[in-house]
Amino acid sequence: MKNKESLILLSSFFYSFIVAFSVLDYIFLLPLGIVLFSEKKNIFKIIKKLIFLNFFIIVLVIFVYFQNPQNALELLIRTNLILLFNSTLFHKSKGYDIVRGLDNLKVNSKIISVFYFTLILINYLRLDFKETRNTLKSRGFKNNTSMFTYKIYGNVFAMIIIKALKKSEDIQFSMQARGFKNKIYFLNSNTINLFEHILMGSVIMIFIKVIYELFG
Amino acid sequence: MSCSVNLIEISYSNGKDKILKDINLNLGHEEKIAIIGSNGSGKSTLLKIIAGLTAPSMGYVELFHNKIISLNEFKKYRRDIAYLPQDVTNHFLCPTVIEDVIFSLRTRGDSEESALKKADVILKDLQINHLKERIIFDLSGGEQKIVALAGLLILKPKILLLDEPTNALDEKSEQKIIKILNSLKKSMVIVSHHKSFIESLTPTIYKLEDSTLEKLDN
Repeated sequence: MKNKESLILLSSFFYSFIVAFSVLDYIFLLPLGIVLFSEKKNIFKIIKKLIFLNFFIIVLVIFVYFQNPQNALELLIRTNLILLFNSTLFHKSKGYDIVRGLDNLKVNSKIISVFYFTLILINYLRLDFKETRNTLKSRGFKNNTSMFTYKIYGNVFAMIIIKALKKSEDIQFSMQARGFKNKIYFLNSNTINLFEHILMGSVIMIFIKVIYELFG
Repeated sequence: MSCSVNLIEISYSNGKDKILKDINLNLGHEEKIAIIGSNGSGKSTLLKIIAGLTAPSMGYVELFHNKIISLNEFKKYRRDIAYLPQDVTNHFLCPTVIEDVIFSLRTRGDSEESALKKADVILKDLQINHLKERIIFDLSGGEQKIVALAGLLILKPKILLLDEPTNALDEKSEQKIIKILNSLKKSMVIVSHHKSFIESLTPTIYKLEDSTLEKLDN
């Protein structure tokens, strides 16, 4: 393993896997505590994001609650542990480090390229959406439950799709002109610091504990 | 003067609309020409035809005296032709400056070490060495244009095709691009709206109007 991105990616994968499929334990709070400590300055932003994501989870939890309250509580705890761990770990990430991590883990180059260009297109769409929202505001558009509002939203949605198609066509031209052969070449940073070592160590520790409890 | 690009009776239609009609153009060795024209006049399409990205409906392109019939035949000249799109963000295929600059070398088989050495030289020449580790999409428009130019020039192409290279740039960035382009001894086709920018690069100006190309008098 050469770079910290792949180490973080592996920590994320193993932690999420362990929390999702094993008996809940207080030790799961250890890696979470480590990542939260490393991002202590941004903790309120992360919690805000977690609360927002919980709006979606809570609907699912309510459904499960009527069938089995114990399962509903476990579902809520597990999803929140995983979400909080990952959103803290990737708080500053723009997605490129994930691609870099995948590259270092020797994932197929075609899959990495697809992942990378999807990420780029999502970023463009996000920017486009933001700009369109500002345009709607500046042109005095007020959304309400009228046919006009639905029509405008339909137009905006269609325009964003057309722009995305145009963008992909232009990127394809660039790929042709620059001799793209299904592979992006990344440079490895080779900078694994104490934080990544401690984090990976704690994830390995809970992994060993879970395995020991299963077979020990 | 030997000829780099020769356009012979090029026409291009997009459905019913005839965008280019019987275009003939010669681009000599290390000659710089500029193409001006109103929005939607077909300047970018013409540049894409020269770059081998779009096939003309009629006519053909000659590259270094070789007749090119299909887009596939452009493949062997890709290293010699560098194309900068109008929206420079479409040019980038890698996240950081250094990764994108060395991309074309790596994809053509250069080792990482050799590509990095060449990139160091070009980044120093263009005075953007300090941007090396930055994420491209966080850079300003002017910086992005220069980074894109570095990515093109690293291959030492014989022909540069630039679509609106100073589009939406401030005066300082524009002057920097002019300085870089004037220092290059390469065949160039520059498409732009900015007359002052074009005049500071070349006296050979063509105007694309009503689907035809006309050379403007000095």
